[in-house]
Amino acid sequence: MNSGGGGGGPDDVVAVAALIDELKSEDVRLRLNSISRLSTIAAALGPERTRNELVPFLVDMNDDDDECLMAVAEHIPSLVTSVGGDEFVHALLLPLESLSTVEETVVRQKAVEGLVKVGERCDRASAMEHFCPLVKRLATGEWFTARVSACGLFACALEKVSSNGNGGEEEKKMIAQLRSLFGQLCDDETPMVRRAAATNLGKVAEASVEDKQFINDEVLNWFGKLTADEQDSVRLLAVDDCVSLSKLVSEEERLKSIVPVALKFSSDTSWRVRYAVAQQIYELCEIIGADFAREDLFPAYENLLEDAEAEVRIAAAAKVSKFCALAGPERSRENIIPRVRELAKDASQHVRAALASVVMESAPTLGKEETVNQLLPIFLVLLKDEFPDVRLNVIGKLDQVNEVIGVDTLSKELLPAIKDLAEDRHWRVRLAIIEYIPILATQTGESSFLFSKEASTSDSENNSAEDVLNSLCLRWLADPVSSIRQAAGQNLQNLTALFGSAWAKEHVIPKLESLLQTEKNYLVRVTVASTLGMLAEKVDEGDITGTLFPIAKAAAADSVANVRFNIAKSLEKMAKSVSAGSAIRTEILEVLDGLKADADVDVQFYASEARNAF
Amino acid sequence: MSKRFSLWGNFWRIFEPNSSLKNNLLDYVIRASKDVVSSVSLVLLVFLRGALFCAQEETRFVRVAETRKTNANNRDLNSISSRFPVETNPLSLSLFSTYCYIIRILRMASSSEVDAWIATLRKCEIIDENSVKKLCQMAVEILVEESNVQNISSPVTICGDIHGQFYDLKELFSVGGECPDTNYLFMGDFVDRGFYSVETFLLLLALKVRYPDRMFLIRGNHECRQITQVYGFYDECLRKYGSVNVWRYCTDVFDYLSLSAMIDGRALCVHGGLSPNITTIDEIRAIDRKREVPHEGPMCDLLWSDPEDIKGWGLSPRGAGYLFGDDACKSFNEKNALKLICRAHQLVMEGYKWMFDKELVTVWSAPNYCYRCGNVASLLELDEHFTPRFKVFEAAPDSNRAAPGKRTVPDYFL
Amino acid sequence: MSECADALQKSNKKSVSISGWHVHSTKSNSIMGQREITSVEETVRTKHVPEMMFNSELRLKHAQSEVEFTFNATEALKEWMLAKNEVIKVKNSERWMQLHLERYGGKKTEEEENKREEGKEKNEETQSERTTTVLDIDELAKEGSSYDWTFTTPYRGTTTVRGEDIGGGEGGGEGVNSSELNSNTNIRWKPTEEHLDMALLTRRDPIELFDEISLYESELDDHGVSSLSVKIRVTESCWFLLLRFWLCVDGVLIRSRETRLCCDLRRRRDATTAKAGAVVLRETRLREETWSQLKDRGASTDAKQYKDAEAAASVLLAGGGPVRVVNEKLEIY
Repeated sequence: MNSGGGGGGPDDVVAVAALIDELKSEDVRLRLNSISRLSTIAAALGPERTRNELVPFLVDMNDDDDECLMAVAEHIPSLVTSVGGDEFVHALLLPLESLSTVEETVVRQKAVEGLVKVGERCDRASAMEHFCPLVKRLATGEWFTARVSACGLFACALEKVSSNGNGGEEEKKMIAQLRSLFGQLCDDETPMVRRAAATNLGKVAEASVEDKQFINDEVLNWFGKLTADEQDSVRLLAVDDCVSLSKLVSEEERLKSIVPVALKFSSDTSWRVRYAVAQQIYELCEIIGADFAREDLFPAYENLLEDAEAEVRIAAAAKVSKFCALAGPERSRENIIPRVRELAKDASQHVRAALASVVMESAPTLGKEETVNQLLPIFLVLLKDEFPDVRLNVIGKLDQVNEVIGVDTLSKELLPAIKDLAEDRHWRVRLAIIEYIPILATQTGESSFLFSKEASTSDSENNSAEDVLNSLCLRWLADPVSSIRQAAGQNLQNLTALFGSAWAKEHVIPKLESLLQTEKNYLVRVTVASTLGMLAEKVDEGDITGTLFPIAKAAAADSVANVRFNIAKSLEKMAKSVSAGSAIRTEILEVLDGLKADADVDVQFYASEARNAF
Repeated sequence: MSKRFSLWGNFWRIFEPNSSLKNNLLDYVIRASKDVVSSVSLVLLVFLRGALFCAQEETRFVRVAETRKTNANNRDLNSISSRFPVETNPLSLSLFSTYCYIIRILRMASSSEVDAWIATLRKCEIIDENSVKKLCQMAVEILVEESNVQNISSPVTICGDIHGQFYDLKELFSVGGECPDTNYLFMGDFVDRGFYSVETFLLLLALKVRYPDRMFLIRGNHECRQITQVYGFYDECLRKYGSVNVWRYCTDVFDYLSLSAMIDGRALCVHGGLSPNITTIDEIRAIDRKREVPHEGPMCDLLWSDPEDIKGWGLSPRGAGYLFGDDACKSFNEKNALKLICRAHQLVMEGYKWMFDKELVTVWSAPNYCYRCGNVASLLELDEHFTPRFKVFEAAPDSNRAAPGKRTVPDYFL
Repeated sequence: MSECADALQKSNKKSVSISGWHVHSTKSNSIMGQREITSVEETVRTKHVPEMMFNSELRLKHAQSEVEFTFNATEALKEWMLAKNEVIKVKNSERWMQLHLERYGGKKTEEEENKREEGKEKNEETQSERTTTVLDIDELAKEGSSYDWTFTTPYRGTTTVRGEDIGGGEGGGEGVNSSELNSNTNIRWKPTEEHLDMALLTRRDPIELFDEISLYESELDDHGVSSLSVKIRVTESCWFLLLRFWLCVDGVLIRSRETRLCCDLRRRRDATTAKAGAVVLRETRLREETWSQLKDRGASTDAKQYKDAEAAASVLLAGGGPVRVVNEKLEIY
């Protein structure tokens, strides 16, 4: 129990003994607990006993539970400091080596991660003596699991041995051996091994980045083989290598060896490969540069936007704006936007949702005019999409639209759509719109016809829009969904903070009063009752005295207790917002005193709480 | 319970009426009742209740206690006593006002603690075992006083099965409003089948304890020891607490949950349905409910029976339990001057289902039931004018839940 | 890779074409609504269907021969209706019935008849105290209507050749009998000595398509579980599917009907004939045990062990118990 404090005390010894016992326990949970505290055990044992007792124990620990094995693999690297410094870390390789050959994939993955961590701590000598031979053993292992694990270790081994350049003959020999072994694994008979090789090809190349010859001759050769693999699961992993290798080779090699492969992949028969291309092709184009990409890769991407598989289109659609930026306004207008227009009508809702979340980001590329002409119609289509996620994704980007097209166009073009969304069937869509209103208000300002009555009386067309937004903000207060009503109150508080007391007095407060008097559903009155308090925090003291308080006082006699105790809470806010010792504060507190004697226990409670604050 | 009362009562009775000792004791009790330490108050409370019960005031007290819910302060107390002027003697009145005072003090003193539990549970985190024990004790104190047919006045929001779907319960509150702003009646089946029965039930119970006049819970057929041992709650308690104590505390609370609720005398709410044994509401009141749900009889029927398109009464093809038809329901409603039977218990894809010319409705509040049915859920808002409105809602979006995912992982099955 | 998997998650239709087979799975994300339920009730001709039915389907079609296997809820329920299953009762039924009779009287069995005289007076007393409710058990049973509420189906999928049902074969029992079919194809399910190739099924080849589809499920009004589901795995070397009916009536009985279909796709490639055919093996494992049988052989009688088909299968696999196995094969040429 006594866990804190300095180590080495008798309590710790007992605790560690208990942990070691737990390591051997029958109960999986106990073993797991103990394994997660391996470093504590090791610290208590000291370096020597850790090496001589704990590590051999871990090697022999033939746990039959995969979860325990995984935990062991995960925690062994945490012992690097406890085995006695870098010169001894290789001791940890042995238990991980056996774990890296087990059948369960997740255990192997953890073991490989662990081996890399430990390997990185080895110095060159110990890498030559311990780590590299281990990699060689695994790479030539009979069982494919060993070879799969080996693939993940080459990069680390090569880096260790070739670091600082001036290695001796031994090192050079080792590098050559390792490379040739990796080459064999790229051509292994088991697809799983080839997959692991494809996954690690980029890292192996990076580890040899100084040896251009090696990369150009051998790595690209292996790359060629893997990309022509008969298994699509191997090919699709090689897609990632296109990007990582592009970073390492010359422009000439890129165009000669990598671009053709990417092009071939973009029309691969397996959609999973095309999907991987759709995800990676932008990065590839970026490395290659727009000038070179224009000819082949851009058309390839444009085709992916029209792919037969929805999943591929999803991945491609998600990159639309980035591609527009790279391709420039002209090509975007000619080749990409027409396809985007089709995607907005795609049969798959997920394609449309992916498009909706990025499409507006291409506005800066296209400029204001093109955005209004080309993009806005697409945007409006998506805003009316039948699938709520699509609409939500669009609303999330509305503020970006404001910036590009300006308030006037926005009001004219978007307001009708926003009006529809404000009454959307899905309450989360309505919520998103409410949350967008203060942003809109910040940009348009108080004088905007959106939020004030007089500004647009002459303009009959805008008149409806004005009514719309203004009444919407108030109508949300009576929404059927509670979260919307609450957000509506919050929204009115934000708008009041923005536009000031007079605006609230004119546009909001009368509505609140009439709702409290006439609304039949108590849930709406509850919202209004608490909105009174929220507004009190933002309006002038005079308006509390003149309007808010009298309304609240009247509502303190509401027939439903829930309304009354929300009035009590709001009265507390009002009392806090007026100056101490003022007549109005006394009046507020008197009403609270009255509520303290209410028949309802909860009203009594909240009234007392409010009263006690003074 | 009654045994405990009579023990205290005997203690009380050994004093001569109006003896100075008795009055001294009363003084002491009244002084001690101002002690805010809740354990002192709790002991006193039990004492007072025993004393009241055995001071030959039982009938009056029961009636007074029935009305206490809405009349829990001195002002109203005087009006109660004026309604029973002959039977009321100053001593028992004084005892009773002390009792009410303690109840209030207790609630005030414990409210911050309960608030802390509610805050924790709302995050879908469990509270520790001792807190559960305490919460359950407090809940029993409240539930024990509730009638088998709780009288509730509108407005109230009525909900059906939840089944441990915590994040969907949160969604329900997002749509219906948080307690106490909204008054709620949950018609049972809080636990089992979902992943978060513990958090779900304890949150509802904590809300009940904190706001007894705003939150009402009645018993479902899953609120019993036998069913919870098979369908998840027992295992979940064991998994989350490492012992079955929490399950024991909760199932003890189950025994005290009321069986039904009457809203404005016009709508009867019950988990399952009607019973051929019950023709009047008073027959429900007469049931001794503080026990495990029996396998048979009226209490069982209220929690288990189903409406069906048949005439009169039917026997479930399973060989136990009743089905009731249009005419059985309508004649019950007529006899008891009811407009509506509200019940839960059966999954409805559309969230609610009217039957029998809108004299009965099934309300189902677990969206995407068992995380795979894809159904919508509903809650029924009855406003203060008895106007019913259904709010239909969907399961919480994945981004709102720390979900154990439902994804199927490809496997090498055999 | 993980993003790829995410994308796959979103679509509920999956398909793959491999070695001459087209495999399509359609998985509904929600149970049927009132309209769909009514339509199934009309097709199956019953008013009693499981409360959770899914509009999901698995189809496997051999392109060349037009042999097709289909799995869906409607067909399964049709076969449930045709099967004359005995109606079982829940655990506390007997006690319930007894108490019901004590309360209302009214059953006229021989045994009951004798006791009736003695109990008559008492019954009449309680009756008169009560109001008008008189509940005759036979009348009640009629109103509730008796049917196999466990939804036990002999269904093993529908096999068609060029759209024509060729029947279920002999081993499954009560489905459409092939002898009744007058058909113009010789492709038939036939008994075989051949077993599923476990070495093939345990190979960890990359999975081209995997799906798990629930067809219907019932909680039996909290008396247990009844479910029908199908799982499929397609790899380069084979396709393999498991259709599983699982029933547990708490404290009464368990019933499991597992149908496994497997087609070795390598077998076709090695075929010496010029025209590529295929062989589909089908194994049916039937198991039914009452609670007392389970108890007698020392197996678990803890209802929660049998809560879902998957968990129960491993409990039963470990515990042994009687199983009836039928092996059949369908040769496609």
